[in-house]
Amino acid sequence: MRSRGEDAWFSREIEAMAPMMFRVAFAILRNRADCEDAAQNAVLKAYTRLDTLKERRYFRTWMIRILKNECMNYARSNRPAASLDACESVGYDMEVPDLDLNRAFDALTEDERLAVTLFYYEGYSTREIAKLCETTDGAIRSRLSRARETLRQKLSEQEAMQ
Amino acid sequence: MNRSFDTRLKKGLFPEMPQSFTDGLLNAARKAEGAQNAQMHDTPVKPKTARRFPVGKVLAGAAAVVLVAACVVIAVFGPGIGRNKHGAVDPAAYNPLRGRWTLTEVEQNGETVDPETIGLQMQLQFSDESVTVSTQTGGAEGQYVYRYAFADNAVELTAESGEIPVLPASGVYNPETNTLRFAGADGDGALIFSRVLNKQTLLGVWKQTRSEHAVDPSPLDGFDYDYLKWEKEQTWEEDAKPQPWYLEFTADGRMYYFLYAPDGGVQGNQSAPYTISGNTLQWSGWTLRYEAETDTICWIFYDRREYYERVPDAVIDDPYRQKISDLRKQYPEYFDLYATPRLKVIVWQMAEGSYSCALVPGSDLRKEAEIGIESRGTTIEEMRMILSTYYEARDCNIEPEQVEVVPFHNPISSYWYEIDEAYTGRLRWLLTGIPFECDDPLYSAPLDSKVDIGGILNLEVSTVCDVDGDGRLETCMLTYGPTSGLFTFTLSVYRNGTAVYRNTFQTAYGYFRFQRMTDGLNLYYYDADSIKTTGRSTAAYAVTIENGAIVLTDEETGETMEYWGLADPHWNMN
Repeated sequence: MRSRGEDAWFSREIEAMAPMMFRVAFAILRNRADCEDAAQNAVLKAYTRLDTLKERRYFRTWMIRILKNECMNYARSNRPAASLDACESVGYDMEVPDLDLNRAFDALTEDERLAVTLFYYEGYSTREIAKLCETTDGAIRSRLSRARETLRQKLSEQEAMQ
Repeated sequence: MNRSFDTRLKKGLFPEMPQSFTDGLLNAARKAEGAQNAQMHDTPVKPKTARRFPVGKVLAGAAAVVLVAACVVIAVFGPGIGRNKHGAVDPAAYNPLRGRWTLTEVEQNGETVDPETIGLQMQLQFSDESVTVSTQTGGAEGQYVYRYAFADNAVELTAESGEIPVLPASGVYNPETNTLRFAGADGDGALIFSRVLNKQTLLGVWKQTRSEHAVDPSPLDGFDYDYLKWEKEQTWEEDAKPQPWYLEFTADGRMYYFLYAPDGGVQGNQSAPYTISGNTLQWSGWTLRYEAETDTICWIFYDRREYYERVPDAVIDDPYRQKISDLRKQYPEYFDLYATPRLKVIVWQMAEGSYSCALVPGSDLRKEAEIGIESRGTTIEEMRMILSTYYEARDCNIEPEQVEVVPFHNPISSYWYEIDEAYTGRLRWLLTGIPFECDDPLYSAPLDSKVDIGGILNLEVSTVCDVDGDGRLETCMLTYGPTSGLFTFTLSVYRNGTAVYRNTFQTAYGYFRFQRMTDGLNLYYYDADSIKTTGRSTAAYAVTIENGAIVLTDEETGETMEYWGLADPHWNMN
């Protein structure tokens, strides 16, 4: 049983992290309803496992890792069979500021989208992202490089068509 | 592009966070905290409606039906497959319908009719939310989208009042035959759909590469473990580049499919429930059957069967993984520790040459004696293997320099030894491979002087080093064999638990040990005489990677060691 103080701290941290959690979840799932579900599940999981967190200062990184795993599992559960999903298209259930950019962003893998989000939006270093994603610094740098290249290419294609 | 790319990237990607998102999180937090009034963010469920469609009419006048159905307007109905009332995906509700189906049989008045003979073509494309029905009847084409519900293998199309689906409203999915059968309300016929298989899925040779922990007693388990992994290098027919992928059958009853990207990351994955019954393992309409008589695996799909032989144990043998698996069972308390920013290894000696090690997070503030007394001691080699799991970027990605080695005298032992800088340095070297400079030739590295043959030579069969210079650490393992008459040994290099380089060499009988150098990795060779007499190495080989193969170059002569039988250096990585 946790104290009220701990509960209040947990809620405060979650509230403060909500924008970051939204971006991370949206980067992976690209859908508002799924984001909400996955993030809520992540919060529930985090609370039940709070005792395993050794130091509170790592809470945000720890929380993002749980959220990332939850979103990946969520995406995995919903992913159509590899050979059969070509006909399905992605739609947004909310207004995005730059539609072309988002369409290009959709061409990235989930891992690449997550790396871009954590690097450009959340200010994590590649090494921190590597730890968070349980991979190597080199792999994250590759992902970012590949992501930038893909985005540039897709945007150029779109502009050429216009 | 007019604007700076980075600026555009930073500003244009994400929509504004809706307030409901924060509210949902706080509700979840309150719910977790046990607040009475907390309610999860909810998505209202719209009632479902369903209408049946007379199959007889389809068969008698499909073209007319298509025209009627062309007026159908589809609205939003109940929740999609696999979603609960909150809109959240229920992981247990995997959707076996997802994918493309084609009408292969029509039953009419108890007789089977080929759809082509009556000029009826129909295809279904199921997603989790909807089904798209494509028809072609008498030259008229149509395409219609419906919502549907799926539970207990029953499919029910849903439509708003006044609309008539082009397909009978009720269907049954048969997981045994992987078919869909839609029956009309009047029972005068049925439409039977079979899954359209992409020929791309029909390829591949499967080999069992690793398996850990037990699922269920079944010959398919092969080993006494709780998940099975089948891996293959697969080339889609239309793709030029091969991509490794594997299936993992886990104890929670799900099968995971992973497609690896060239950089080793997971590029694609999906999961499905599976069941094991006797000799068969099924998932999502696929069946693997173990044929005991021939010891083969039969992969059954749709109307084809292919047989695969079990890969010989010698090829699937994976000493590193096996050893880690054994250690994990033996010393679970030393795995998956919170390793940031460092780990601490407590080492004590109970007799000459007898070391015991315990591993704790660096933040553990207990005294060494307290840890030593309360812990089970591993050998140096075991601890080195355990530490290697922390270097491989799974949970923490620490480096050998972040391992603190702390020797101490165990109070329950009467054996006394001097603990000084040289002693600690040597232990650190033995545990992490970090080079250690010392005047005493017994402890110094590199070693080309008399060495403690019993103590050191047998230990240095594994080490951690960036062998290929890509900035990532790899775990190197040396095993003797696979031949018995001819003297051969095999070097394997693992990254993230996967063998990335492996070569078998042949030379005169002797022993080897690794030595991590400041500029790479060396392999010291001791021939049969030196091992018995001087204890001095007779050759030192630099370990490098060239064209994807391990190359051993004699530091003195510059000659490279022969691969076994002058074989293709990559033969045992296939």
